[in-house]
Amino acid sequence: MESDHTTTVATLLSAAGLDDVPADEIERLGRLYGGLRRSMAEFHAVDVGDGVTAAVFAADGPEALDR
Amino acid sequence: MKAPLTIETAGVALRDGSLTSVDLVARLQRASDSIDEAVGTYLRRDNEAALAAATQADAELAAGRDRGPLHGIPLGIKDILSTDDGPTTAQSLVLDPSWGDQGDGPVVQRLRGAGAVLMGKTTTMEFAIGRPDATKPFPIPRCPWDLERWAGGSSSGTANGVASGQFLGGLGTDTAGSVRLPASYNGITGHKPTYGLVPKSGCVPLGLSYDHIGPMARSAWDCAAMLDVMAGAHESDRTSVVRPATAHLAMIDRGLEGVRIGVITNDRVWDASAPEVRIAFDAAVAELSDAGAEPVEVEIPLYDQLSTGTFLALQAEAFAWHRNLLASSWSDYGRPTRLTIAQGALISAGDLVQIERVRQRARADVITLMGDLGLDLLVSPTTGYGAAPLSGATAEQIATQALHTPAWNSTGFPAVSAPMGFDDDGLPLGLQIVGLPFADAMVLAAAHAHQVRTDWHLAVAPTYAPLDG
Repeated sequence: MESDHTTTVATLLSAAGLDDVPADEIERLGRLYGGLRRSMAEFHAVDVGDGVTAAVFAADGPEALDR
Repeated sequence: MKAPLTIETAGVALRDGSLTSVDLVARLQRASDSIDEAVGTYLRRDNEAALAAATQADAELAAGRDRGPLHGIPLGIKDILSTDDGPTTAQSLVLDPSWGDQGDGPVVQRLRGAGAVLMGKTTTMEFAIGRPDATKPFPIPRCPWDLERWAGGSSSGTANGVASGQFLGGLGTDTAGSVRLPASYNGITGHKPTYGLVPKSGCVPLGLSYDHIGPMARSAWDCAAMLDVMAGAHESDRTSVVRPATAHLAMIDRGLEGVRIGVITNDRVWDASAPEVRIAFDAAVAELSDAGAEPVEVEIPLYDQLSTGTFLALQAEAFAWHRNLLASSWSDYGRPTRLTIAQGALISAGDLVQIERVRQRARADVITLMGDLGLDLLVSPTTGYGAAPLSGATAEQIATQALHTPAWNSTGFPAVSAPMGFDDDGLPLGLQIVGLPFADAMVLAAAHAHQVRTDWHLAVAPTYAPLDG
């Protein structure tokens, strides 16, 4: 399983433009990747309804963005 | 030992003629000569510019021109904020030295305009996210309560500079707790303002929608005086909010009569706190209650997601800013920094959208809950433990360093950390007080009400330079 994550991480890093990451650091990120996916699964399990978008965060309404 | 000088008490002394700004700055510079190497506060000291500013401040006061509570007051500036006085490093070998060429950001400009004396640039963690790194040519910021312990981060040098008596206040930045955590560890007060209250242009970004610039000083009074100057929209930051000015200092004595305070009961807080933290926290809540507040136990909805989401999203936002630098200069970053930011590349677009959707739902749910229960404030410990050892820290200590603070970066709510006692090792502990958006004045007034009844914020660390030179 660890090696699966290492391969996944290497692929994702390369796709993001990071081609020179040393193998031991890819391995380290591979060990962290399982926890990251578990955390994300908890987010995807939250039912936020259909009306909540991912609009740019603003603390107090849209006026700052209207300027 | 006499009580340490604060912005408030120094202001009195500057006006009654018992102290000049030049004398104060010179004494503090001598203090730094003797202890900065041990404590690791400064990345750069601007001694001549500070003395020149102090000279001007004295001349203005003598001529009857008083710019307000920060006039002639020495402050430290975290070195991820650009200033006119020299390059910004973000405590990294990677940042282009020309990055800070724009000079003073709006908050630094405002502090200078209010007569503050900028003493220099203070230590942080690399790009405000790394770890103390002895392999890099930068000082290691240490806790003046125990030099074998970390000052906390990432506004490390501003916090330990105040606590060790090298300046009276300063600027930190807070993306997941970086003002409040070192404030707690060093026994001072640190305030993360409402998101949008203080413009953050001129700051090297970490998580663009989670970053805040905040004041750090001995007391809530001092932080309110700084926030009055720092607050207000600026055209250079599109997320800063145009709204009527609030005089935080004028409201500092409003008291707590009729104020309802939600005492956070979530397992995430208490499973990650030492027993002596619970004792100090209960005593702090009792003080707030004696001051007129009504405590009510409350479970925060989606609290774990608000906290975890801050770390995940800030990694994605940090990766967006760092991607090109990481691609070209991977090995020049410290290992903890590059591995943390690179995790942002492992979060998909769909993941980030869902984090933001949950963030918005959770924020709305907390506001609704506080409205339904009539709550004005929320309280928790700032940290579950005192400052961690620089070496040999347990995994538990590291993992629980920032569990209590990041939820309020997700919501953007104002949150202050104020000293509330000590652990069994004599290390300071902090009380976190959180308010609704733009209720910064109430948050600071609550901390002030606690500080009127206690003197934890005036406790002096073993490594402290008294003003006797």
